[in-house]
Amino acid sequence: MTTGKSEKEQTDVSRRRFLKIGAGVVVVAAAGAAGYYYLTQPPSGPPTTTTTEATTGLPPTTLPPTTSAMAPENIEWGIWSWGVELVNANAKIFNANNPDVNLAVTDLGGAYTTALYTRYQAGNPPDIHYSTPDVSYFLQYKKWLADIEDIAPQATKYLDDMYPGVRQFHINPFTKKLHGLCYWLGPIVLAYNASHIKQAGFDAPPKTYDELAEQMLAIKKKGITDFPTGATWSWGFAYLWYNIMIGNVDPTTTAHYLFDENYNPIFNDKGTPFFDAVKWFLDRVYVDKTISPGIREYDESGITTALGSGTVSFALAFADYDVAAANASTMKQTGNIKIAMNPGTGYATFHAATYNISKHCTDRGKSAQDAVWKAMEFAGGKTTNAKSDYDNGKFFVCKKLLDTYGVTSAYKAVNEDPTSIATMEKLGMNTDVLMQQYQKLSSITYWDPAQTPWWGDWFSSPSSEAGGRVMPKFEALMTKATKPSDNDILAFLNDIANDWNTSKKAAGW
Amino acid sequence: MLALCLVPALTPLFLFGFYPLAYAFYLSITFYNLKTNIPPHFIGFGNYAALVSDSAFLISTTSTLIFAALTIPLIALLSLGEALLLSNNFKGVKALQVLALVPWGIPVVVSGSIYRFIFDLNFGVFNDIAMKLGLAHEYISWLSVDWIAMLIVALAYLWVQTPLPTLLLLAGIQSIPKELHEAASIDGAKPLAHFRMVTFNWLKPVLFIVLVYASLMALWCFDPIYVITMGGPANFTKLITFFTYERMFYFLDFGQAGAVTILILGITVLLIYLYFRALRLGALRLRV
Repeated sequence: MTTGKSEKEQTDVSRRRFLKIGAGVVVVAAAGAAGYYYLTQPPSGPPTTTTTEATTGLPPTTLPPTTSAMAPENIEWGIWSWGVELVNANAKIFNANNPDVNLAVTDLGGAYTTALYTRYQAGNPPDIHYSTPDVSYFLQYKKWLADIEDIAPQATKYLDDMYPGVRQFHINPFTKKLHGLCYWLGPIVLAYNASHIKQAGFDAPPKTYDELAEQMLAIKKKGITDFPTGATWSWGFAYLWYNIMIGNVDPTTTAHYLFDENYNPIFNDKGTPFFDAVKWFLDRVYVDKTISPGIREYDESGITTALGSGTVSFALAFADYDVAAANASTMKQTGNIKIAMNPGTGYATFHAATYNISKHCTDRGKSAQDAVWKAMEFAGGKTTNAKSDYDNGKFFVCKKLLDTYGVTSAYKAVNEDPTSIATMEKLGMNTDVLMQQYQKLSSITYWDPAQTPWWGDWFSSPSSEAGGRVMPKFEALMTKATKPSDNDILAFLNDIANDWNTSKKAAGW
Repeated sequence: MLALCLVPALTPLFLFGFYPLAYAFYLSITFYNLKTNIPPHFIGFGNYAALVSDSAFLISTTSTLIFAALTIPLIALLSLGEALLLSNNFKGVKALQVLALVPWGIPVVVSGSIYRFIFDLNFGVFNDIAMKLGLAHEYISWLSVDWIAMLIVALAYLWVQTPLPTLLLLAGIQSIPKELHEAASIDGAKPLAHFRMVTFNWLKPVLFIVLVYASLMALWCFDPIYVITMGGPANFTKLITFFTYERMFYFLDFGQAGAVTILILGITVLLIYLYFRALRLGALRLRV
């Protein structure tokens, strides 16, 4: 028997029928969901049964004390994705010894600054977190940070434990108060290959920037390396210039290098420290050809590898702890990489990170303030069994950071501890020079006269690989076909000065 | 009832498609810079005006145009050439067809990293070969030469972006009816005439699609820039997407980032419109 339709047509569902079935399913599902929602909602009117009715027949119970009195104070610790395991282990130790506080670690990821700013903007920042100098400044400018001095005045004692040149860095430029304790701090050094300079006929690393130029040229002429000098170009860009400037002009004799007290540019003229630094650098690129325009390709790991493999002999704007990596046993030049005092005056700038606490946390009241101070002192101060102990305690976390990764500190007691020295020596760091460099550090990079909210975007941010707007403009000068004249340098300086002024105006300053 | 059925489909479209666009437009007409203490406020087309007078934006736009001018024709030509080669019947063609698609599975980030290594200042294999062949006397920083850096980025991008158009064109070639070629042969057509009169004509709609695809991909290209050059040297390879990313995530200038996003959206819509006009929208018939 046939129905007049093909077998296929009988088994297929028509589009109209499909839509009908689909719509039916959706309507039934929606009605069911609405019914379920209605039935599970609490009645909107007064309850029809009383508590006495509901509890009739039940034995009397003793209510526990209110949970708020018992519960530990929750403190969120925002970190970036480095040394996460160590941080987690430290938090565990802290929690085990401080039952009244629950320290929870949040890894804010690789895009740390963005994540942090976004959380602040959303009104939900971590209670305590790392801050690089530009981040600290920005958060202080936005009035999002609390100064630790306000909630724990005794914290100022830690300033005496720090090297003299780095104390100012820990002061909030707006309130002039201590804003946080040290997470880590290390000099920006000139690293060199001792074997290379010896092969080139020198007994000691350069004492001035002119001597550095001379040694670079000698190394090139001997064919030891084609381009003897590299640098941390990415986040080290601003440090590179400040190290050259304060190497040539003593920071104890001048208050400002780039800006006056009113944040007006003072660098865009012939003969200024910045002009001379740029000229010195470009002479190495165009005249001696001892610096390749490819220096711009180096990030932190790139320059460390180049130094360790022997493709460069000097590294400017080098993080002190990276000397350990450049001397790793897997590196061709293991054992040859040394730290030199910054040529010239010997003063050097430094990179650092502090622990900062959010105002959002301290606004929660005394309990949160006490808890966050405990956490900060554990992470960046002296404790015994993870409890505050300034007089007899030890810098537990700072020391552990150094022992584990060779990451140094603002505190003399941490760096100069014999076991720390032994650790650093074992990692290939020449600690005699490093300790001398610690004695000659300058906070000028951050106090010239102070940072501004746009400083990082303009120059370069220590927490960003992208660099600021000055960097590509300098790259244009560095990658020209012919050597830029003094007027070209001046035009570059004027250009970035105008850019600075535009940013200043846009920020309403 | 029918409209109700569309709700599940349209909800994500509005939530994840139109709402972000609307929000981007809102940002584009708002002063919204997290790095200032100035609260967000309406500024009309102020962000657009600021962009037009920003030399970094103009350089970035020029870079994007250069990148597009380099990659769009190259993708079309390379994929057409590859498709023609792979449409032939020779020993090993099947294996080649598979191999031709392999780069498609490689993330652009990985491709970018590989090219960065090839042209590395100190350890790049390209420099090594150039030295051994006597073409260079010392290692050269290719990534610090603006046009060469742009070409390297384009190479890394082309490697990954060519397989899909090749696949489309190959499918197009394989769908050409044999009768057309037979008729052309009877008419005495030589190989070039075969290609021009039969293959190319048949492939025109697919080629248009490939051009649309290549144009949009060029406009949206981001990964190789991030990995290889970070926009340098001197901003020369800072394509518009990287510029937007920088404004948004480094400078935290949401207003300007929103304005660039809307501009990119406008260009995208315009491109699609123009291509579809060229295709005579509505008459698009893929003969595959």
